[in-house]
Amino acid sequence: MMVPAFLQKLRTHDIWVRAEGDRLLCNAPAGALTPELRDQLARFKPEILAYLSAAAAVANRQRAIVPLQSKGEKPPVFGVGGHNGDVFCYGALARELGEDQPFYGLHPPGLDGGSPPFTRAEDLASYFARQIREFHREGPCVIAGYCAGGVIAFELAQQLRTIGQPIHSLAFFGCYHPTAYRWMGLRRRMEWLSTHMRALAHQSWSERASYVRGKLEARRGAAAQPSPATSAELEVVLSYRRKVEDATILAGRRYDPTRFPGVVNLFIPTREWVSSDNGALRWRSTSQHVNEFFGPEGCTGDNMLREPYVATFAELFRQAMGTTSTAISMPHPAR
Amino acid sequence: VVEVAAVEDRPQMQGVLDRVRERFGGPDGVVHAAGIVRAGLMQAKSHELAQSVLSPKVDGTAVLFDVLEGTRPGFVVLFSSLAAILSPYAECDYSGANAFLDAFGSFANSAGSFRTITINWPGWREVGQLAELETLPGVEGWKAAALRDAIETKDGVEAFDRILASGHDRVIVCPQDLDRWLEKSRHVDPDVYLAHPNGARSGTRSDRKGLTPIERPATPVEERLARIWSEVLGVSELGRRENFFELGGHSLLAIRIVTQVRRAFDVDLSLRALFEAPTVADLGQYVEAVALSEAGSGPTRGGGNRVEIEI
Repeated sequence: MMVPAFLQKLRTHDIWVRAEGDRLLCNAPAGALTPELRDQLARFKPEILAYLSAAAAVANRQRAIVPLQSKGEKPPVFGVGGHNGDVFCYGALARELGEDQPFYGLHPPGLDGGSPPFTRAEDLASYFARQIREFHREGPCVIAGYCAGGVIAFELAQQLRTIGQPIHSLAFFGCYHPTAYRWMGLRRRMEWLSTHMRALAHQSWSERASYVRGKLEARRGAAAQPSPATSAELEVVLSYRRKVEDATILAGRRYDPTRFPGVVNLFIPTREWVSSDNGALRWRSTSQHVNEFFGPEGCTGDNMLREPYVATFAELFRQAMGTTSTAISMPHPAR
Repeated sequence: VVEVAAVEDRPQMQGVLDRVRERFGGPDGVVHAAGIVRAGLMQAKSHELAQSVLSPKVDGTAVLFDVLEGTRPGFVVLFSSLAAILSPYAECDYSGANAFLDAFGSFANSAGSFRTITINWPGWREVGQLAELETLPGVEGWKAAALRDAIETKDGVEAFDRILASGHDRVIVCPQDLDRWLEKSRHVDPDVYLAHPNGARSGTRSDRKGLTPIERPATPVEERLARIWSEVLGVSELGRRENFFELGGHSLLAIRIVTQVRRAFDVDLSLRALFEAPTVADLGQYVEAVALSEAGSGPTRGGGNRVEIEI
């Protein structure tokens, strides 16, 4: 008998079946459960219980853990996406690392509107840590962070260690230090102001009035007219994403990293990319065992995990895994 | 006399040449103008589709020169295209096929015993591949834009006569300033051509999988899922075994599908499910299982007109 089809058939008669341990309970409108249906339920009780048990297991799996590449025996990587929580940022890296490196993205709540996003790194890390612990009980794992996800990854590694999960290493891909977020809003406003001040400096008063009017009109127009290429439904999804972005930045701004007793591998686009704005090298102070790996010229935080640079970072990651497997740290400054 | 043969089919081509020899004593000139254009985004093209574009130009040219071996036609003209020079939008395969023709023309002149002329044509407005072209869904604007820049038949015929008489082995026919066209081809605005805003690959299934018959959704759940996928991905005739990621699925599309499926079936679906069950068939089973496992959310007590019994 096809259990799903049979259960679907029962549903059409408003007959609900559920399992409680070895018991099979059936809830139905009076008279709906005919002797024939009852007989079928009794006859196939073991199959129905097995199916319900398997289905419940499927439904209750760790929803945050997205298998980008689930094969392989190496310590699995659990990667926190960037500020928008998008685990697809690791897609190319997972492919490049090949089928012997398990790689899972960590999907934050809020992206599909099912629940609000977390605004504290500790809360989001706790949400991920619980699920990783259930999912991967044996052996060490690597915790990765990309861009703003580094803050969450750092706190996640700390929490996992606390609850007894061995951490092979932390892998940071172009990650900003939390201090960078504290001044980010003010810095952006200053840049905005400076741009317009420069534009206005050499204009007459009438030109300045016209400039300001034009900018205001453009802004009102953009707000009133959504892009023709986006559907209302896409707008909703994008609005969820914006909420997650805001929440992640807020979480980063609030976070104060403490000392991490394990290995931290910093994968940095280029030496030139490092600046006081992103504070990428301030992560050095969070661990005694920090390794730094730099990408080739032309690489940026936006493209480091994409073609053509992803192959370089996959290779650097493999090197880092080899190095950190014996817990040897590289001296500063970086090679 | 009209003979019909597939240029990449050696026996057919050999047969045509034999009949030409028998009737006329041999070809005085040969024009290889066979070609297929299938304008479409690179990610929307299947291997089979690209192969169908490459074959007449690449395999066909090889076959043609093989069967011509030992003959001495006055000339062989290879009809190449400006696509090989401009590398235009939506023609990656066609561009590559014609680049092969250009290179082969040079090779043939250095190694062969007859004159080979390669002409890089623009589109022809009234006849030929462009005029008869059916674009893949998603790049409908491409044909209209290409026709605007095409030449008329009388101009093409005049150019052909002049090229034959010119003594040049490689000629580019360009109705406007070539440098300007090259510059223009470097700055493509996809909005001019793209009809579908999602950015996923589009097209009918036959475009994607050649002539393989479609495996249609098998259950009502799959049918509903297929409708959601088709709408979100901009894909018609979706097969139940087609993979979301191979169809060009990306993060925003995945979230949209998860959101819509959740709403349509009232089940708690996660992004993880789409990764583990990336086809309509797999996701259908997943949705059914989750829906049935959530039976506990239905009535759990007797009362009113309901009864609860243990089986």
